[in-house]
Amino acid sequence: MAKILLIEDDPDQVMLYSIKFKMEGLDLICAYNGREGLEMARREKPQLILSDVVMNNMDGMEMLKQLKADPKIKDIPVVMLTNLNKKELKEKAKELGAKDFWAKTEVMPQEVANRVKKMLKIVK
Amino acid sequence: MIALFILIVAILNFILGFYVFLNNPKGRINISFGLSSFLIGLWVFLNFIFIKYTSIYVLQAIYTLAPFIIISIAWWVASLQTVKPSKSFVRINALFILFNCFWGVLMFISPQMIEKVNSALDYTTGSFFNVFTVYILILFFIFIIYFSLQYRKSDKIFRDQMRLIFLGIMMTVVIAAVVGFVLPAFGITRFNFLDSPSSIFFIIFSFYSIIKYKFLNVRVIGTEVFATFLVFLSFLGLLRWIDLSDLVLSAAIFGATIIFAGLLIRSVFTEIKRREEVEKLNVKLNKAAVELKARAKHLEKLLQMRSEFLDIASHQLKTPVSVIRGTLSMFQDGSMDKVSKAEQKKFLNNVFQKANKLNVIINDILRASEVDTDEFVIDKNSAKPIQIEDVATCVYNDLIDSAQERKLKLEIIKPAKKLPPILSNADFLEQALSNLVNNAIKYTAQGQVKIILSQDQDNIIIKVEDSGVGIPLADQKKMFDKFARASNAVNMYTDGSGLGLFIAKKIIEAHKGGQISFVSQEGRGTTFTVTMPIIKK
Repeated sequence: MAKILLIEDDPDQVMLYSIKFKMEGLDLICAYNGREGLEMARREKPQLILSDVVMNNMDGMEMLKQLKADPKIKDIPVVMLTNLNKKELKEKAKELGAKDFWAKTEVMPQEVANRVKKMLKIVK
Repeated sequence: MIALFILIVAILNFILGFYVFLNNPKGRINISFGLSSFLIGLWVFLNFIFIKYTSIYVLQAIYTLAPFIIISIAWWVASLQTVKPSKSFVRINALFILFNCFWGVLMFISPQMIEKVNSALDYTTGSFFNVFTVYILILFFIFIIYFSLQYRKSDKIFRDQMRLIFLGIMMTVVIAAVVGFVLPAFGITRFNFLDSPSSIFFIIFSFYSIIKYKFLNVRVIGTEVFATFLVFLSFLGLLRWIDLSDLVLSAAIFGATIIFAGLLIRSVFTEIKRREEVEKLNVKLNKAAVELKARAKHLEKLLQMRSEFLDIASHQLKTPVSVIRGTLSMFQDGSMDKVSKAEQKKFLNNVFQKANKLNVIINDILRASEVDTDEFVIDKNSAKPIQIEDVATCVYNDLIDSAQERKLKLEIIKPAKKLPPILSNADFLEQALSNLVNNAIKYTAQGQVKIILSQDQDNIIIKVEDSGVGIPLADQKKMFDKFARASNAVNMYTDGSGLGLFIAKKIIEAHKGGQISFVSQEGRGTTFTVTMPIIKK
């Protein structure tokens, strides 16, 4: 079962994705801030990371920067999943090495799960 | 002939000084220039008297006046600078004036200064006169050094003006110093008649400077003086008539000169007036441009703040929307059919809470926009005398249920005696106080929240005290910012908009004299203090 790491500070979002991903046969592990997410990435070696941007205790962009600087985990693809839908932010995330940038209000949990599955097949 | 020339030079000096002074009687530059011109004119006039009457007293007066002229020119040079003369400059000048007075007295009482006068071109100086000459030369060199320093400090236009006038002064002073002081000290007095006419150089270069550079902004003065000079010359011609036809011709020339002079002055006046109007318009235009630039900058800053506010506000709004949409989409695509009824209920409850949060955020954003302007003030036009006890009771009644739900004790502590009224708007003040008490309840896990009312001599003091999580020191500075949230409270309470404290501060500070502050210790609780001025009787 593919292991996905979700870094998200809103417990309601976490609960929603947990159920949807479980139904889709994906193993979702969760972290509630960037720092925790980095530690979990190093420990669990997920196949994909979905990360929020606005979080206390290390935001998503800083997490991405540090992840790409760590040779052991730098190859894990990261998708930013956020409510901030700004062009500059998208460009910066791509520059830092994000695979993609999805807006939470636009992409429903089912669509997120579909895109993740598609992406993992490509990665594989 | 030379006497007449000296008289004309004296009159020209008086005219020059008088007109420059009249142009701006309150200007430091005009006063000091006028004084210098007047003193030079007086000095030249005394020379005229001396040539005519050969009196020792007049000669003594001429020599007494000379060092004062140098001091007056130094004052004029000092007045050209925008800053007032320094204290040391004033003190040194006062000292020299004292010396000048001393020499003046000595000049009149001691025969060692001027021994005797035989004629206008033949007088004998005493031994003290040589010392006086040295003093004059020292004074002269100090003036040159001072002038050079001021010259280096000045801008280009002033330099050009000063260069010309300096040349005039130099020629006058050097000639006067040589024929009036140095040569007499060696017993040669026959060239003395040349000293005072030398001030014609000062007059010529001053006029040239006035006309070429609009020196002292008195081009019109130059024209007036020139015109007066022409009228004066034609008047002299009129006085020297020989026969009737000569008189008629001279009178005609005199009349024509007056008309010409009048027209000349009028045309220069018109041009100066037009130029002044253009300059005034130019000044206005420049002022408007500066104002426009400042406004554009302010607008740019406002737009940037607005853009930042919109970014954060849209994020705050989208956060509950994404949960609502996500959950409802899962009900719609049948995913929720596969979870238990209890879990379905939990998700629906989440959706309801997120919708409530959305409502709170929208209301707070609207209120924040309302209070976040410079125009938002609560003054006598929008406020009336109110009792703080009434406002506190309303807040208590609104929030007591929410406190009891969280098993917290909410109480109002107030003095037995009725507090004096404050000038406020009850709706806004209730919102501010409600935001403080609501935060206290939401961020307090156990214990109590107190609303404490009191007064000092000038103010009503409202304290909202809780035994909650407190605000970490690192977060305390930003707590009144829009969407600020303490790092230790992020996951505790998510129904707020992050605008409560911002709105409270804006409302309190919209009152004249209204202040809000807090003290907090992480893990021990927070106390917000609001002070509002009591209405003075």
